[in-house]
Amino acid sequence: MARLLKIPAHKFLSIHARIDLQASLFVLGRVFLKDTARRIPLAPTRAFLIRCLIALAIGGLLAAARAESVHAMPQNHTTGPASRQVKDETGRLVRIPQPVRRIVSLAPSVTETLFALGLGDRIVGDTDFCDYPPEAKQKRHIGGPVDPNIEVIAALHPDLVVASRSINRVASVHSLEQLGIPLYGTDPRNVDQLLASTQRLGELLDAGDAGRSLVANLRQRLSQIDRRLRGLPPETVMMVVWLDPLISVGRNTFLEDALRRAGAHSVIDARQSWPNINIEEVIRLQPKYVIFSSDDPQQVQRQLAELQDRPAWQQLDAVRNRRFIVVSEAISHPSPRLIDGIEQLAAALYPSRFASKAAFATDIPELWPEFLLARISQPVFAFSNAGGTP
Amino acid sequence: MNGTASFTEARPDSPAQQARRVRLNVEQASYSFSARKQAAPLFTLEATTFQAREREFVAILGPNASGKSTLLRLISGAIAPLSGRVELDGFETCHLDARTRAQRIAFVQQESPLIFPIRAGDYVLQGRHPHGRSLWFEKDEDFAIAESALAQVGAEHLRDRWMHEISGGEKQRVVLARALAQQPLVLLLDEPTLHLDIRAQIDLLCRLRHLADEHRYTVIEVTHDLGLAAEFADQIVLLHRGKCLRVGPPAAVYQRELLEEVFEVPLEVELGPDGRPRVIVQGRREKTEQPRP
Amino acid sequence: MKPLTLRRVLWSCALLAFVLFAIVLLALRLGAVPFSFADMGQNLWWLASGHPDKISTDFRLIMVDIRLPRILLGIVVGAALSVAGASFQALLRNPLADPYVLGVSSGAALGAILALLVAPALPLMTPLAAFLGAAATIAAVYFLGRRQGQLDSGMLLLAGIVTASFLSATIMFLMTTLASRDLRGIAFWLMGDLSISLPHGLLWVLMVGFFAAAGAILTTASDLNVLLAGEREAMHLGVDVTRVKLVVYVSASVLTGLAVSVSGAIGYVGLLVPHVMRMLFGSDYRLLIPTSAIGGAIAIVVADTLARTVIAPTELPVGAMTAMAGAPVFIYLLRRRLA
Repeated sequence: MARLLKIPAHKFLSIHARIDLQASLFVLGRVFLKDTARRIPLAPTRAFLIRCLIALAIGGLLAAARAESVHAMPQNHTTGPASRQVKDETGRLVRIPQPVRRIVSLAPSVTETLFALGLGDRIVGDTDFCDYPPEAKQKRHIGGPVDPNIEVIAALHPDLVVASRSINRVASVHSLEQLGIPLYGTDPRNVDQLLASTQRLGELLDAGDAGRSLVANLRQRLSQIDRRLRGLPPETVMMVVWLDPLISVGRNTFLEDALRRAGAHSVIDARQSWPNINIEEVIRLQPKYVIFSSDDPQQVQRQLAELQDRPAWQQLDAVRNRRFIVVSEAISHPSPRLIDGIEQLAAALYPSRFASKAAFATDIPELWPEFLLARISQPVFAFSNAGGTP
Repeated sequence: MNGTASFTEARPDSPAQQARRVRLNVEQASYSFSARKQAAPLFTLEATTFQAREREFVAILGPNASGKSTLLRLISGAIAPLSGRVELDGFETCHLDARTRAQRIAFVQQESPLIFPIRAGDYVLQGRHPHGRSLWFEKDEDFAIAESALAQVGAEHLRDRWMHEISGGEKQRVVLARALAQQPLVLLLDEPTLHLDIRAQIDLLCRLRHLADEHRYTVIEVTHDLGLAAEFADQIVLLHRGKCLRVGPPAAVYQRELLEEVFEVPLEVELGPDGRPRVIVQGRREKTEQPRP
Repeated sequence: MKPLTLRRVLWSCALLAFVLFAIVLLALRLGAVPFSFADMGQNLWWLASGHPDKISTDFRLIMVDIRLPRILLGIVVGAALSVAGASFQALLRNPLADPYVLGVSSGAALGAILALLVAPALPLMTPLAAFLGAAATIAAVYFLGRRQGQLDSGMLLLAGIVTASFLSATIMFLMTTLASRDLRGIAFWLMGDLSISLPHGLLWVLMVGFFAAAGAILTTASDLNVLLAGEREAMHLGVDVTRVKLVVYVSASVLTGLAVSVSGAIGYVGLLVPHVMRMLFGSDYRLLIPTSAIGGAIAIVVADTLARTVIAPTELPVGAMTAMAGAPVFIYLLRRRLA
């Protein structure tokens, strides 16, 4: 048996290679094989085995080298006729081809922004969760914001991928970079930055007048809210991001800035973005309003009904007196709809200042469909002492 | 082995026997170990001297915690003596590397549990490990040696059986076969008869005796069985609390006062017709009524 | 009793390698973007015969740039984890040992988290820091697991479990108190994820590391067989127990560290593949190590392909797939009383 195997072994390598190999294995042998003096010359079968392993290793490395040499071929994406080099909002340098005709969006907020800028027809792919506006659902889905499918993105041959730092992973960014697909990252941390980011996106993507007028409109609405709220002390609120466990918003988040613009002051002052809060702390702070953000009426109904059964929550003034505010989820998205959400919240907090636009909600079921559309000048839904009860 | 005649021949310390080559030389070997360094030693084996020749069956005898296993491990070279020497054919056992040692000394332990199932044949084949090298595969020669080892212990029929399925006595024979497959000069056994019934005990000791006589092994066993040691051994090393009290043939070592001091039970010693002593344990004595614990 | 010969080892490995090759071809074909066999065949021929310019862009992008590196990574990771698992089962003399029992994966996770906090922009930082974390854990557990200067199976196991718990607690603490948003990605990494894009040089490093460490373990394979019968017996049979344990410990931990730094903690592979290979090929480590390596590669490539295609375009992390498939296999093995 050993003899059978000896013959092919000698055919593989020349005599010099064999000597070199045995010499190098002798050195290795000092480390790994004991009692090497008795092993040289190596028995033929073991030598064959070792050579097989080495051949496999070399073969594997060669395969990798082959793949790399193919990969090293020039990419024909971005070295087209024209391209701009810009710095995106996360500090990366991106080379964007001009013009940009095929865009992939990696976040629902980005999709909304792009549609608001009038660039909806240039979007070739978006995430599974992009549902506003309704046309977004018709686009090719590329997975979730956290786990996009790189293959599908690559197959769409986008000119630019737009991502949002708050929801996308760094690893996805690296994967796309390595394929040579340009990726622009947005990272608005507050309302002002959101407007600046939207304007910049409009410029970069040649949205033309639509972009400029959109931003101007949004700024105007914001300044109107500012005007109406001038001189008023902010109302203390607690924003409930999640009920079980109780999660609220911390400093330096988008949501906190939006609350501030709407004339609310979050009683929770924490360094983490989404801190877990102890209910006792809330009881001590006694916010005037408790805010939920949801587009699902039944879920909110359930949650509010449940709160009645919790003795800890009943110690909150706001809960006993049913001072709840429910706003659209738009308030937590860094997209143009955010302004809608801020308006809603401001109108709910200071109904007197927004009397021309808001209507007091006394009958819940009727108002839900309008509420869900979350467009400007829709009445916001608020409980109050004098108001009706479900 | 059919009958006890072959091993009950008188074996006096004849000149012919003395002329046999000394294979193992234990000279003033002592050992002690403690839980931590600089702490008082937990146990000390004091300087012990004896010699074992080829074809000799030595029994290291003593009650529990007398240092028998420690002495055996000193002989095997697993631990080095604090003072003195243990020499095998002139080489100190503790200075040999593990492979060379394993080619000369085979140690039959009290068994360890097996994790993965293994067949008896493969188990015996492991005894060829000291003769192989890294990345080796067994040759026909190794299979032949393993086969003959199984034959020597009368366990060929167990070759394809799983180790966890055979009885205690059969397992002990397979373990002995593995030791024989090492083709050693010296066989060390640590209380091999511990969990066996009397028939299996006699069977094992007969085989060991046969191996010593016919195949020139030096067999050294550790035991606390007074009776069987006297029946089979050529030389007894008597240990008590770490001290070697006496070395010699059974007739010389089995003195009543000595044994009573060591084993702390009343007993009688008789000399059998073959020159080997027989021990009769007295059990309860009416004269000195000890209160029952 | 069938004697183990070199020929049997080579034939078994060849058989498994053939299965692996077939699975790789299938994995190349499947994915969110479909290809037909004819397309693939033509493009592969052009690739192999040295005409890379004729390959279609789509093919190059998806096959060569995305799928092939991912499959190669999966092969190395699967092989590394299986060999490490088989080795730990022998070293710790425990059939339930897997590569993560000594805390290497928790150390790597901590390294990765620290990298994400400190320098999230550099793609190479995460695997590098993870490997450093793994190396630090290997050293720490080694020093904790010694008794009388030698590695002791019982102490090693305890030291590993304690270290793993401590590191996991530290990770949880960091994740809840730190404000960085980049930590979101760590959840995927903790579950085991092959979608990381590595610079190609790193794949070479992985392969070399794998062959070096697995080769070292293979040289001690016959010693491991004897070691399984008991440590004292092994010593008396001529095995240099101290050296073997050290070599196996370091090599297997390095294999685990390499695998975990690039793909997170993919579970069940290191535990189950050796047992399945034992069922098929027997307990002899000279055969078990190479067959576990190839078997592990097969398992990971299958799991990864399923993870990529089951609910396309959404990708499941590989670890979720191995857990879903691994648990029933584990129960089945337990019932056959082989674990």
